[in-house]
Amino acid sequence: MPTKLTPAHREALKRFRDEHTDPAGTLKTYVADFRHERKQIIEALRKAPATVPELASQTGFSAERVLWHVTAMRKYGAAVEIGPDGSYVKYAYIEQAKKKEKE
Amino acid sequence: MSPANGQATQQQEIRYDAVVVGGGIAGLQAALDLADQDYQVLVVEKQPSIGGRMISLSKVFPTLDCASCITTPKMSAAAHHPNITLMTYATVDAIEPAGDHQRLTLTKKPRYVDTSTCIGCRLCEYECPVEYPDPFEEGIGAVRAIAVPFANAIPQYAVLNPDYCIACGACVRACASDAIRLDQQPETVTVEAGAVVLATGFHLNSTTLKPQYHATESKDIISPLHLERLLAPHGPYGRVLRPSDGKIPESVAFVLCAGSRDQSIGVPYCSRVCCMYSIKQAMLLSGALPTADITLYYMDIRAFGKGFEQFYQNAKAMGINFVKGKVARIAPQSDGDMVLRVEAIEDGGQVMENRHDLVVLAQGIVPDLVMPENLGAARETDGFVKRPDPLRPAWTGCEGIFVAGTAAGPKDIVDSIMEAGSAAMEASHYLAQKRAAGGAEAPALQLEVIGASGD
Repeated sequence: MPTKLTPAHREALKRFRDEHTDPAGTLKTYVADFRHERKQIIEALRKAPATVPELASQTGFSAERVLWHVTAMRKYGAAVEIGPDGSYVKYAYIEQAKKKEKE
Repeated sequence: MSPANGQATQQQEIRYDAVVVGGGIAGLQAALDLADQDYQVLVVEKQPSIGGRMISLSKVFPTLDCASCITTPKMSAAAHHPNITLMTYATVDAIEPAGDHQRLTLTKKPRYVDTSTCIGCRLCEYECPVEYPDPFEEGIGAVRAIAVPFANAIPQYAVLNPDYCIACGACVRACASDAIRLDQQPETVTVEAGAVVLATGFHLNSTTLKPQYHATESKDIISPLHLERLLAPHGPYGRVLRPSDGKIPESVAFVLCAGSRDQSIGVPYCSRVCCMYSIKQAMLLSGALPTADITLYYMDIRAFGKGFEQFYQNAKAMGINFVKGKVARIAPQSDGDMVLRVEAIEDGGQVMENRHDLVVLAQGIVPDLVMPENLGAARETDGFVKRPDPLRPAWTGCEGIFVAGTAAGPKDIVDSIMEAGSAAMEASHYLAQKRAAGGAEAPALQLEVIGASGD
């Protein structure tokens, strides 16, 4: 049963925000970049399964960064590995992979 | 959710006969050995979970047993032992003599989670929208801003990283047991104990210490702990891939003595385990990547332990290439490969340049405990805790303070466990002598918590 936010929760959240300010905007920039990159990678994977260099070339992000995102998506159940493709591994977005499985 | 309490002081009447600093394999073994003798033991661990370095390893040499299959039962035994109290996510700031016992000043870092109500269900983690490089996976995997540290973490409580939290409240809403406490504050804790065992462990020195190896220029020049995670069955990629682009490696090089036995980087001593863990990793790699070429560049192989020489011979028989020669330079190429320049000593001293697509630097072991003086112990010139009496290898020379594992010098897991047993026996003997001198009962010890009460 999820918890409904109470005034005490809101007060704690406010206090946490006050204590952990981000004057240089480092966290804000990190989160914005993270969301943008993740969105682009999901969109690319929705079109077709792809390897890390393919995703990097489609999105314009570094292959290292794409691999990190795909690794995170595998961990949290948003992507699956569908097997080797030459010297690389092909990944699929979980919705596409499930659709293919049903077919 | 409890309201913010502001500054408060908690007083608890707790008896600790011994405090073990460090919840790695050595610390847990020392704690279990003391607790089995009916001593009340507090284990202080700086990470959110006990298990130390060993819980992140893939397998151990020379038996190739699963590392977590050995560590997890020890972690579980310590967590469930009636005489052991675990204090995770806490650091020891100072240890000072106070009469006939030791006074420890600890800082308990806020988890932002009430450990008395968290059930480790991970609902908060599943709802958290921010991910960052996972320290448990050496940065190559990802973890969410609030998460249970890893699958077999003990205790199974979530911990929030305030550096990546955007205070969106998703975790608070998701938590079924209302365990999120965003108003937690660090707590200063003072503990008094009859004896202390330092089992603070090690870390590897930086891959960037030798500029001629150009580790800053390539993500594919990795540390052995990175490779341990890649080789672990539940590792970040689920298989071995090179971190720069996800390529399945075809030619892997191990550079031994890359961070030890080298005056130029201030680590003149041998780290003792690099030869064997590199051979182990090479063997595991040859299983994970059957078509890959695997080469070890070494000065000399130090296979000193029981079964180690046979292990080395088995690796050679498996087709792993051993090249005697110290790697002089690693040059990252534009295609992502690296060219290693080495003088092949057993091949007429000719200079070779070999191309590899993944390079593992066997870095040196350095102590995690930077200032043992603050913890009541002296240190050697190499930084490890001093042991003045060769006939009492677990004694630091300070009354009631003992040392175990890699805090005292580089050693393998078996030696760390043996030394932990020795430290526990020394501590037990010391405590028994104190009891005999002062009466049957150990003195009542105080746990004083200063700061806002969080959980």
